[in-house]
Amino acid sequence: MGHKAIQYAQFALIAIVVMTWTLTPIYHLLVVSLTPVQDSFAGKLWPDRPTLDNYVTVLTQGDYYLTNFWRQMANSIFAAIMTCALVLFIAVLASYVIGRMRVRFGGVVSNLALLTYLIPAAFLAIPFYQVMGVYQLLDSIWAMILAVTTFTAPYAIWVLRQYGDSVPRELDEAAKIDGATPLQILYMVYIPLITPAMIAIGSFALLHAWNEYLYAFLLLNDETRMTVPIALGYYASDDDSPWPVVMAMGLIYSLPPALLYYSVRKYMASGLTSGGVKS
Amino acid sequence: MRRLATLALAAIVLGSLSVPALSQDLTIWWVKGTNIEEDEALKAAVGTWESETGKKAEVSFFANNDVTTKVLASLKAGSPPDLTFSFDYDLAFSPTWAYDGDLVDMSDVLMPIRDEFQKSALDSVYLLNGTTGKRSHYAVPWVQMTPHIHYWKSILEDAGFTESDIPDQWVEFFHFWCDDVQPAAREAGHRVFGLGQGYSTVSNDPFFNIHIWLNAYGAQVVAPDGTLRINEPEQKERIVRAMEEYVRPMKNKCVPPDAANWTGGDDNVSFINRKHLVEMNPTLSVPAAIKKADPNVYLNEIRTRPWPKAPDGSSTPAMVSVKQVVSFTSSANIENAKSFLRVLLRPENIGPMLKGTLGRWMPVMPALLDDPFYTDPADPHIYAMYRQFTETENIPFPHAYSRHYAKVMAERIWGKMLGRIVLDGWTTERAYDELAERMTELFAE
Amino acid sequence: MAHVTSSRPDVYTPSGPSLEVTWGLIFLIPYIVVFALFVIYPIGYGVYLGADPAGYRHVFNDPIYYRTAVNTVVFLLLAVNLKMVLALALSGFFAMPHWWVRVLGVLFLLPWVIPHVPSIMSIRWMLNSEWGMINNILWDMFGVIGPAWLVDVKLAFGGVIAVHIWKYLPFWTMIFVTGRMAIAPAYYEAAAIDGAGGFAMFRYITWPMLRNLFITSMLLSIIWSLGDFNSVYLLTGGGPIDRTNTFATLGIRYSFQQGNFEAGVATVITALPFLVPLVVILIKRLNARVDH
Repeated sequence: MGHKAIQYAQFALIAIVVMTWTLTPIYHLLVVSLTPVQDSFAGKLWPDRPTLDNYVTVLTQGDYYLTNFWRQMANSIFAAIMTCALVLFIAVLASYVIGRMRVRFGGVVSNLALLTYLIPAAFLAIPFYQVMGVYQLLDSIWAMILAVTTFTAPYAIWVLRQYGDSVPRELDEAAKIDGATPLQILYMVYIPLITPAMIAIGSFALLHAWNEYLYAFLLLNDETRMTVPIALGYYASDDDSPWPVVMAMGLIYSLPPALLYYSVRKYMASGLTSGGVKS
Repeated sequence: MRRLATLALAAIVLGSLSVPALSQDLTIWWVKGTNIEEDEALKAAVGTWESETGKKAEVSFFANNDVTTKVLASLKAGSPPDLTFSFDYDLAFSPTWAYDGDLVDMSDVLMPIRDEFQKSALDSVYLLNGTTGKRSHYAVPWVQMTPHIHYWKSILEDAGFTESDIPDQWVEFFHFWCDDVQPAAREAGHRVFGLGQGYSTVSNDPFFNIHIWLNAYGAQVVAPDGTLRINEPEQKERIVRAMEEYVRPMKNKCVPPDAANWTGGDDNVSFINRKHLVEMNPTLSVPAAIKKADPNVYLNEIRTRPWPKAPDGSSTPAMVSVKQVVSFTSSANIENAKSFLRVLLRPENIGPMLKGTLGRWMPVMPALLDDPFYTDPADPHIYAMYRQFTETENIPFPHAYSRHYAKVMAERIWGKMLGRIVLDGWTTERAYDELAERMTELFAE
Repeated sequence: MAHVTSSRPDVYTPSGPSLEVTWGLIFLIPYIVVFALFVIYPIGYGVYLGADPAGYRHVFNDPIYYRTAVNTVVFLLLAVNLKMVLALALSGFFAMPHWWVRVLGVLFLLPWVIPHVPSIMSIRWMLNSEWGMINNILWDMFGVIGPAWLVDVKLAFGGVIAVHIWKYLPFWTMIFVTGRMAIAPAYYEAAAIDGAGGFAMFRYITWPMLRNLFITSMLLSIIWSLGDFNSVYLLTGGGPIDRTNTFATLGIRYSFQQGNFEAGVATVITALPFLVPLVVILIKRLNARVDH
């Protein structure tokens, strides 16, 4: 019993240390967002006069900086959904060919995808920007959607292909014997079987687009066309920002991905690990 | 799942139909104002132009560093805005752009109204084009600025001093704030530092400040004919001296430590929140922000003043930087940009617009100064700025003498050198050596 | 793929495979288009920009470049190793079958889930030496004047490493938890009967089972960390005095802050001799996994 108690004390200690480390910055975000703007610099553990005014300001676009908040929120949502759709569309088809069809070039495509997966996105930012200029896509939300798609699709292909390997091929064969075309097999056999992985990778793409900073910052200019993280970055670098309001905005923006993540959590771990780094 | 796939496809098709129309008659990228009034004033001028011409313009506002980033990138990609304004152009980029033939010659906009402008402002945009070998007006002078000093009168008095105690000699002035007022103010319960002298590589402010110091100590880095003088022994001695004096307050803990990382706005934030007593800023952005928040503080608690007398007793000139609006040869709508400029530069448009900045900038058109807004002695800040410009000698920054100096600014090597001394503990000589070497390299490029 | 081919009954007429090839090509079109337009073309453009020797001259003459190279190596060694070892250790904790561990696990993932910009901005604000919460608490509770966190070069770079770990530790812990879950409990039960302690169990059961996963994860993490722009840029902006840059931010700084795109690309290209071998090894490892 004594041994058990010591063990529990050890666990509790680990839990306290880990949670303090993990939650302090998020707690701080919350505290600042609850602080009245004129007390921005109080740096208190808990504000003397906590208020929800900053949230009201954000939600009602009640500050000069926030004139386009809902517009930017709509842009974020649009970008996230489009990226998710594009990534799934590309990756389902490609993973089906690479993993399930008897074609020679599948392996080459697979390696090319892996290669893209392994290039740090920040390294390609400079030429990527130029190329978007050539395509006349600068300052269009599509530039950002395509950028995130480019860097997420390879991972998606990889994950779906791995997941697909665990699905029995006999089903394909049976369908083939019944005279199904590859399109029908894809539609009626493959997609239903890999749905859990699609949910995982779709959420991954969605989160990526929602959170993207570097490419969105470089590619989007106009306040009515940018996504929320870029707007946040702009306010942060401006002379005289109302920080508590900016923090409230950041916290509001953090809620959807947190909710999404927790609602698909059981697919995430198995879905992502099956492709990412399973040994 | 089948439904999901159909939905996804439908979404893609729908989405591709909603690509926004990108064609505009005029694209403008401008520095976001400290106050909403600044941006509204520009938008109003744009509205006037739109209704006069029936064309459509799009204005985007960015923080200063961001507009520079955006313009550099878009220029490289061949799709720059038609018209743009940032605080950095005259100091860091226009001389290089003009030399490379990237800037639109604005002579046809400026010459018909040249009498409206102060001569020094027109001179400052008369830049050399390396491809043609000729000089011309490659930018439109928009406003001008010179570094000012602000201080907290209220905290000074809390600390037991009066304004008449402030010395007007260089060394004594800074000594007073660091060694007399700072300890006394802390004694009186203020958690403050004496001086808000930045030394970061992200902000322009240290660049301005160090040149004020260099000038005060008689150091000349670039001669008016464009020769680099930094390696001359006599200049070296003066530069090292100025640098030593500049970093002394930092070494003596008279400057907030975070000044090493300050952006152009962080020093404002620190001063406005009473974290330091003396602020050095090239525009009146601090008083403007305070005026908006609390006019009483603006009138009664803070003050703006010129620089103290140089160590040799001579008066300190106003070092002036004229801010520029530019258009690029690769811009899509150069003629529309010029047509808008003609509207913007009408006194009835630019006048209210500059007042809309709450007096943050000094106009470059003398006629606009004939206005109680600038000349009313009851205003402790705008009037102080007015006097600083009109009652002392105006001299330019070294980039006016050599286009190479723009690269010195772009690389922020002065800020880097100050950091070497303060953060790395280098001797001033060693930091000077690195600075001189890099500057010589940049001039040779 | 090989075993599948052999087990597949060859019922197709000669038109069969070609039908499959046709469909295969059609299905690959979307990815090939994306790859050509947004990977091949930018890389080609980057190589073209990188062919200009002026970029390399500028970079090699800049003392900041060398400092950044050292930073990048330190960042990879410290941040990646610390993060992965901690993740492996913590995965043992989070793999425990208690309800409260599961609740903590949910909270633990927050840093990875919420966007970079607000969370790192919050950390930056918290660490401000004059009005940040940390130093204020130090002053209020202990009367100590806290360090200037983001001003001292070593502390600031330590901060960058801490932010990186804070952000990505949860992800890798989750990966290792999944890995541990896949180990059959029977092994541990048998070992317990033999009287093995915690360390012995790790040494003889957990580690051998997780080693491959760990090494692959490590390689992946190195490559991803090399491209970690946000942790540096959003916390310190590369400062003070440009001393906390890594290659991910230095290229951006040259290009988009100084307008020297050739130098920006040159910076990235000089990192390739380090990156390419890693990528080759990883592709081999990942492919090997598929074939077995």
